[in-house]
Amino acid sequence: MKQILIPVGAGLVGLVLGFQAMLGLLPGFIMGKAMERFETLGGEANQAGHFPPIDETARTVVRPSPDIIYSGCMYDVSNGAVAITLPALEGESYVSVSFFDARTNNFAAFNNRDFGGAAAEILLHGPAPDHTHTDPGYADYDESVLAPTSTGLVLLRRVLSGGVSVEDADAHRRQFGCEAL
Amino acid sequence: MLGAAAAVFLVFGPADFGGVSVGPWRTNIHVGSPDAPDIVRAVVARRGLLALNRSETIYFSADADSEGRPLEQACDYRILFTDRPDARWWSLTLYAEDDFLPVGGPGAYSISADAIGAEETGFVVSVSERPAIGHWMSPENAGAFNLTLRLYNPGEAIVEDPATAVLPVVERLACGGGA
Repeated sequence: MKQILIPVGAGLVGLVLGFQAMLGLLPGFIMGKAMERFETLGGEANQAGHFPPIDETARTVVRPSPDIIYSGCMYDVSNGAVAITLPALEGESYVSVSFFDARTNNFAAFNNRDFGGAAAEILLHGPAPDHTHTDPGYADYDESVLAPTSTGLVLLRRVLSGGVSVEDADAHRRQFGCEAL
Repeated sequence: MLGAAAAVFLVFGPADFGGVSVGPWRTNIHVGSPDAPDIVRAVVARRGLLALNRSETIYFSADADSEGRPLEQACDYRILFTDRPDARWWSLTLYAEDDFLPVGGPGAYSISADAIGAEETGFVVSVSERPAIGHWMSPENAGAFNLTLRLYNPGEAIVEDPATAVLPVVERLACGGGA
C-alpha cells in the first residue's frame, strides 16, 4: 500500500506546486507582454507616451474604452523617484492617473476631484532611502506613493465628456508628466 | 507540468472567479486589488489588465442576456435602464468575442452618460446590426459579443456592495430576422 501511496502523494504535491507556481507567474508574464507592446509604441521608461484615440485598431490591451484617451508611462524607480503630473481639470469631467505594479496590482489612483480640479504632482518612489512628499525638500509634491515593484505602468485616463473635442482633450492629456528625478 | 497546464487552462478558459452577479452582469470585486487570491489576480490580469480598483471604477460585464442566453451578433437586443447608473460618469461598450472593439462595422460600439438627455431618467439602448432610432450600438462583426458597463466614481453603496447596483435588463428580441 505504501508503495502506491508515496508516488501518488508526491504526484499530487507536484501538481499543486506546479499549479500555484504558474498562477504566481502569469500576472507578471501578462504585464511584461503589455509593457513590451507599450515599448513598441515608442514608450520609454520614465517618459510620458500618448496613445492615439481608441478605435477598432487599438489592440494593445483588452477592452479599451473608446470614450477615453489614454497616456502612459513605464516607470522604473530602481535608480530613484519619478515625478508624475496629473493635469488640472475643473468641473464634472474626469481625468485620473493610476499606478500598476509588475504583477498588475493597481496600487494607487488619483483623479481630478482628489485635488479640487488643480494640477497635482505625485512622487512615485521605491523603498527607503527614497523620500516622500512629507520630507524636507519634497514639499512641492502633493502626494507620494510607494511602488511595490521597481517597474510598472502609470496610466492616465481622460474621459471624452461634456462636449470636449478630441483635439482639446488630446492637448489637455499631453500635460501628463512622468520624469525621473 | 500537469498542474501548470491546469493553471493556464483555468486562467485562459471561460471560467470566472471571485465575481458578483446582478442579473446577467458580473463584476470582480478583486480587480486591481493586491489582496486578490492568486487565481483571481491571474484571471483579472488576462481579462481586465490595467483596470482600476473598485473605489475608482467598477466594471460590470455581460456576455448573456437576462435569461442567460449568450449574446449573439445575429440577434437584436433591448437594454433597458430604469434609471441612470449611480456614478459620476458611466459608459456602456460593446466588445467582440476577442475582447477588442468590433472591426469593420459602423463604429457604433459605445454609449456614455453624455448621450443621455437630462430629461431621460429611464432609457433604452438598442443593439442590432441594423441601425435603430435612438441610442444604438452595432454588434456587426462582433460574433459572440460582450458588454462592459463602466461606472466611474460609483455611488458609495455600490462600492460597498456591488450586488446592490441597479443595472439594466438585457432583453433579446429576435434572431436572424425571426423571433
